[in-house]
Amino acid sequence: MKQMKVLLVDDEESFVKTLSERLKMRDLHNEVAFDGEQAVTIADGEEPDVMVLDLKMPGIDGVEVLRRVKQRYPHIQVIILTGHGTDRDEEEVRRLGAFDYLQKPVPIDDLVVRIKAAYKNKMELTMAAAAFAEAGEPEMAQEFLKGN
Amino acid sequence: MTEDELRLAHLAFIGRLLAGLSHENKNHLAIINESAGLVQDLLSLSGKNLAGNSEKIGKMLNLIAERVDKANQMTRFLSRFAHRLDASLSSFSVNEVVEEEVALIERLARQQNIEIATSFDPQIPALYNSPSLLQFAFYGLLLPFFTLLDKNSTIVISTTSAGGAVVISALASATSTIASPPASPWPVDDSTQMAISRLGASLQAPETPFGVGFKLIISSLASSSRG
Repeated sequence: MKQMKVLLVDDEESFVKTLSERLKMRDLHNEVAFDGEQAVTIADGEEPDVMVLDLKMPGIDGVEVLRRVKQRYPHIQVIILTGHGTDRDEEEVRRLGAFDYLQKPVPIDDLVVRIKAAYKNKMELTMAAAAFAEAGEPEMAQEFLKGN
Repeated sequence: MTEDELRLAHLAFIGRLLAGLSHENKNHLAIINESAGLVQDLLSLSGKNLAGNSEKIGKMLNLIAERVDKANQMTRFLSRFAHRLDASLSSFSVNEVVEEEVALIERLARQQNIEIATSFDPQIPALYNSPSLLQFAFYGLLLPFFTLLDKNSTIVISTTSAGGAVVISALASATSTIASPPASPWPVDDSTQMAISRLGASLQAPETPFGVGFKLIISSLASSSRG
């Protein structure tokens, strides 16, 4: 069975490294990025299944990373994990296609549940897209890949 | 610009600083949460055999202590910042007022990859004026740096005394790179200009020929202003 790939993106290095270690202890393979540029580069190369993304970062911020990732790889599921949560932020990132929106600090077990749910969602959309592609309906397949 | 508009702009500034502080403290709490969680994970995994993980556990406990200190310091600044509003005019230390404002806007600077360095003259006199309005005006004066300077630049903020007045300088360091040429005089929006006027303060260009920044000169308000 394919191993889920998670990308953690946060400019607080202590936070993201510790979170990474705890997720690995729970058998969630993951990589880390410390800024938006790095996150986009890793997404281009590795195509993670799930991205856990902070919003406020130097350089390219989380909203812009989400926008770029969803444009290029709509099937990547993005969970926003931020300490800067406003209703307007949540509304915007959900409109841009974020799978979930969580506030820091979050209990690790809750985060694991949400990551697994995001991965399940991605797999279901991918399988549905494959089924439509096989049935000769590429447009419907594309819609599923976009998460619609 | 009316008094009401100035009050609204001042409130918006307070809101922005509080939001930034809340974000900063959530980050500290998130790090404490993950570090404590990792210690818990390591303890439950290692059972009675802690030797293999003692170094990592020690590191996590140090990180927790460090973040508790930072959050505590930030909360202290917040408390002082909030109490600046208790009275519209009061006697205060400019160094303290500037120091707490720098602490509260450091995250904004970090987002732009800009450093803030400070150098405070401990001998400057206490002033009787509006500390909260000074913080509002100073914030408005600092904002242009974030569009003028390239990343990896440094803003040097210092205080000195000149007669009975206090000079607060903010200058780009010599190693800073300028993204766009600074306006002359220093760009000041209407609400900041009005706040400077209410403070009885004045703005000067830096003396260095290519200096990027400003000097704000502020004194105690005349006794007639003392309510």
